[in-house]
Amino acid sequence: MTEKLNKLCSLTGSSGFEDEVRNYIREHVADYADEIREDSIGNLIVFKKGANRRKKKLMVCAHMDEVGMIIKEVTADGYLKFDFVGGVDRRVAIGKRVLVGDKKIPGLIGLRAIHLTTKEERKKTPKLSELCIDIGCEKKPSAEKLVSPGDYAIFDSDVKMLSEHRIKARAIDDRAGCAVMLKLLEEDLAYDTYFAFTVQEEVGCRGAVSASYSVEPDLALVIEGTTAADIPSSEGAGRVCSLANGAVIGCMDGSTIYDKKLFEFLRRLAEEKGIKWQMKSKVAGGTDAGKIHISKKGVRTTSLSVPTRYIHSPSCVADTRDMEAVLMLAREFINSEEEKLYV
Amino acid sequence: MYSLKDVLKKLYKTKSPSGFEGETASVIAEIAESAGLSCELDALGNLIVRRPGVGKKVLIDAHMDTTGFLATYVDEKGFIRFDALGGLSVAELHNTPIVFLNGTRGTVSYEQKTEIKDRKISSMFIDIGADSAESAKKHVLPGDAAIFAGELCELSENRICAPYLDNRLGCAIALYTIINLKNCEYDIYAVFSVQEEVGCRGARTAAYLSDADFAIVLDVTDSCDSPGFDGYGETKLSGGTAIKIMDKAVIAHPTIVSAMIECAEKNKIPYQRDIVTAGGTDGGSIHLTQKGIPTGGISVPVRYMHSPCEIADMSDVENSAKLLSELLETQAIIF
Repeated sequence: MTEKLNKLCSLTGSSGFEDEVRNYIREHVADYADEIREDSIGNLIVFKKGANRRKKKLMVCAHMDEVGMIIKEVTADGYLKFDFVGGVDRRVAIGKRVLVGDKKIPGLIGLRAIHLTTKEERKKTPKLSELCIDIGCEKKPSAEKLVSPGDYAIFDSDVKMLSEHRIKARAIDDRAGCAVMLKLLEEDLAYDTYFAFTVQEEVGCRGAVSASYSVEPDLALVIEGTTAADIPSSEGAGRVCSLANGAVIGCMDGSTIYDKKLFEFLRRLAEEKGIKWQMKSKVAGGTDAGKIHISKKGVRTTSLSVPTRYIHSPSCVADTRDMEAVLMLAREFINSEEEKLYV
Repeated sequence: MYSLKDVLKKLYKTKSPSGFEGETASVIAEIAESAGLSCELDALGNLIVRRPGVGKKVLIDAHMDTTGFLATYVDEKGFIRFDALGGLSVAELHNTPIVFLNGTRGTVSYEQKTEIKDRKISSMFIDIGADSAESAKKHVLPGDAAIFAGELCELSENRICAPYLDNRLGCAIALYTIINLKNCEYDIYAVFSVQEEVGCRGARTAAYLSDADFAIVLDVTDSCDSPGFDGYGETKLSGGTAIKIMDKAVIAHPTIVSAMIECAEKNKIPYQRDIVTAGGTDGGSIHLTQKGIPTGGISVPVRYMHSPCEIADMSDVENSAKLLSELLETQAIIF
């Protein structure tokens, strides 16, 4: 699984530009899937038969996209003005390297040197309008040969194992979920299952809307990367969830109150199978579940997440043991006797 | 036979913060079934009470959920941190008694020595009298929900005071009306919806399921007659049922508005025109569902909304029920 995550995190997929990720997944699942369909918005919907037919449909979902940037303007002196796609804290973007467009033109988000700033200036985060990407071009015409407005950019950040279990990469949110789904697709499943690899989650869970409308699931399991704040500057409830404490079972976030019975079911399953699990101590953020559970006649929805530090930054950190816990619990869930999900 | 107040009192025996509406749903189902109506729960927990008819499909919606507290973290001393279920105002929460769904009592308090203006939900906590995390967790686990502890009190002048008149009143009106309807050709889907307070989520799926021809939403509305409300609107206690013109989430369908006003005039039911510029109702979700569902609303004016002490006038409640009943029995709304 770590290899899968390594590979997936090396691919680019700023919201709306998920092609690299989608192409890789499509190719990878070809041997394992019974049906692969790309819908009009770009979701990849993969159906896999299990040993048994399900009376009610289950959709497992992870999003392919990541936060990034979009180029708005090439300036006369060859800089790129841009905006963020999805939620990026300007403070983590400054001074970072980026790759622009399919050609992966290297650049960076620069800032005036400390010598040239006042104390007052250093107290405030520069506004977006003060930031630009430098791709090393002297004039507009030379920059325009490499980049056009509308091109996307992503943080240039490699995948690295920091220690035996800790991985650092961009886009762990939600390539971790994609990796778990790829692994499940390779396995023999007890029941028929739809796997939806969605687009545009980071800009408002848009892909999930059309995925749930076309699949029409009765049950959904969303697999995500979620905000861990187990760092020295946070304490108590403010730590939200912690690395190496296991899979996060969804109770409530900003867009969903997760199905109570499925929550209890997963909690019991984790206890029975000895899989580490935790809950978040703060209601924040949202996932594709927010759109899925209110689609059509309503979908009973639950979630499993990999706690991830520094989410939406160039360098996120997760623990591979938590990923394994999410995988194990997702596997147990999918393979559970169907009737048990309906008590 | 239940009176309107009996139904209301029955509802007050239950707790139903957003996401935890099961108890209220079963009490409503019990009353509806004893009147011979069939009930079902959908995927999100909405209770759908059917009163079949040969006419147009009508969605009657009242949300069952109330605001509440979700325990998120128990600290080592046994204090419980929480997040809000729906819109809780910090000002209402200082040292306010609450009760968990399992009956555990407690009070909301705040980190001492912080300025009032610096207090926020994340710096408040619930004290259930525990002296350690271990003892607290015997009663409350993260993920458990609580509500304001308070009962339905009768004040002078036919007025009542309680937490969660929003939307026990709407539920009582809808339920009382459909179990007492005599002649009605409309094909009625009475939806007692979940999760209104967190963004009108339940109404969306129930409306999709019903695919109704039009909808009437029963809820409460801000009464603008207490001190400090000057200039916000004319809606007031004892001013009659409040016919929705618009709120922040829906502009009521003109056909429904005029049918309601005509019906109120004809039957001499006191009414007021309700224009809400802050806050929405389930109508916001319903009217945008399927191919669009024309939507109107009947509301009861309530003072001190979302506080532990909301105040309403029973005459407004009764007039709202009368208007709903007349609209349905005379098939006054025609599409």
